[in-house]
Amino acid sequence: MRSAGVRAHETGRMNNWKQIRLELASTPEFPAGSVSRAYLLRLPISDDDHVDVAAYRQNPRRAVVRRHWSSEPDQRGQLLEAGEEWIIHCDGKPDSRLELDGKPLRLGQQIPIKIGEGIELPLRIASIR
Amino acid sequence: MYLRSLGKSATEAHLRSILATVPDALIIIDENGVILSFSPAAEKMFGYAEDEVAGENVSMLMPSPDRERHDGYLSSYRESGVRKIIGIGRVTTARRRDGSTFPIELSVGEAWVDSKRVFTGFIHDISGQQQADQRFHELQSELAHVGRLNELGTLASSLAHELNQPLTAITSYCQGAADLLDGEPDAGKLAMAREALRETAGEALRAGQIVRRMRDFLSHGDSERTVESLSRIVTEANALGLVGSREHGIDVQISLDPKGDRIFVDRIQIQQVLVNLIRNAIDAMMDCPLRSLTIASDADADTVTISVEDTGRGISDELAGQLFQPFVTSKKTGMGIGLSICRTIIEAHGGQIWFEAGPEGGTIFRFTLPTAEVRNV
Repeated sequence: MRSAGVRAHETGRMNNWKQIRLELASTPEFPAGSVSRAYLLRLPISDDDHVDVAAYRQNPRRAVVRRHWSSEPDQRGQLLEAGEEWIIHCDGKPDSRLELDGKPLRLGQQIPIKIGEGIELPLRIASIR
Repeated sequence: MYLRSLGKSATEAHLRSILATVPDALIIIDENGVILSFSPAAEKMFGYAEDEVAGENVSMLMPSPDRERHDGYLSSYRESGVRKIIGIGRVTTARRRDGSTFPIELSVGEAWVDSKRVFTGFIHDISGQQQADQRFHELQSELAHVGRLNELGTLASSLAHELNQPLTAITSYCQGAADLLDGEPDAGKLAMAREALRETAGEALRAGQIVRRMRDFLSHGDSERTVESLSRIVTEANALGLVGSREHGIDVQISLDPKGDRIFVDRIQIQQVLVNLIRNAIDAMMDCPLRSLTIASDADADTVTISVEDTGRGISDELAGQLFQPFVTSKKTGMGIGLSICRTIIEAHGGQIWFEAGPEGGTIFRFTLPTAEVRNV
């Protein structure tokens, strides 16, 4: 099955790049979520609110990810398409995997992230601009 | 006196009404850095509601390297009692919810409430274009830049004037010597030609002395070298460089190697270099869709290399070979002496400066400085 997040309209437009802020959603440790734990993704979004893969493939280096996590040092990396998954790659850090599968990129949408063996955290789209 | 006459709830309401109208953000934290209060101006400035950030660590409002070091600053103060910012204030950089960074002036106070220590931070946003020019000059003045730049402007004018004299003389002597050597010169003409060439050499030496005077001015004039923190120098220079850049949406990333944090430098001069490189980088990205500025450092045993990387349009081959020469510029305004001064300052500190093309078409400027540990050996 191909990821619905990737199934998007493949317009290849260059002017639909957005910055998506994902904040930590409710977890046992942070029942109300945490605004100080966030990922910022730069991705092209199609009219039906999915990743515009054609636009991404035209300029994959523009797909930058930043991780701002409480009092930890900032991390910056690339968002890489890998089959049906999207990998967050930061130099010197283990890769994380974003579960964009079938999920429209809209405010409030929850998107899980796998940050290691068996560790999965819920993220929530807090803003798109 | 007036507040004392009010009841506790009336006092609190009164203070809240005052805080609601203060344009500067006010944030109160406990001694561990946990946010206790976040004023309406802070909500507007940073994009968070008070109930979202209450209980979070205030470091969330800072970009690296302050983000990961702030807890250490607090514990160091708790243990030593040495004030590095309280009652002094500083220019630094903050980060909004949308990830963008902006320059601020931060003033910190300390108070005891019910036997518990709290810190109050007043934050003044200095990113606005409206006040940018004035504020930039004020800040530069505080760092003694303006005096330096004005003197440099004067020096550059007199340098051009003074160099013109030996260069004119050299031209005349060379032309004269060439005329004297035409055909088959007799002994008298040969002696005169020899004399003209000696004079040429003398004038060339004089030109060299004029250039050296400028170098001496920059490297020894009022240079005050002390052991400094590179992260502080970079943070302040970044804030200064970003003044007035609010509309341009620059994405700044600072990543410093803690091993190379202690350096023995003239702080003002190194900040001058960094501000110059940062503003050049911002100028180079103005017409580009991706505006990303990365300041990083990498230290080995005795040297730290600092890089300033942009995603701008790059440097043309035409300019590349002479970029560090004075009076070379691609800008419509400016004298083209910025990078020349940068090189003079870095070389006077025993370092080197160079540039290379970035992986995506931008430019990376790098310079080296000796770490303070080298000096202590």
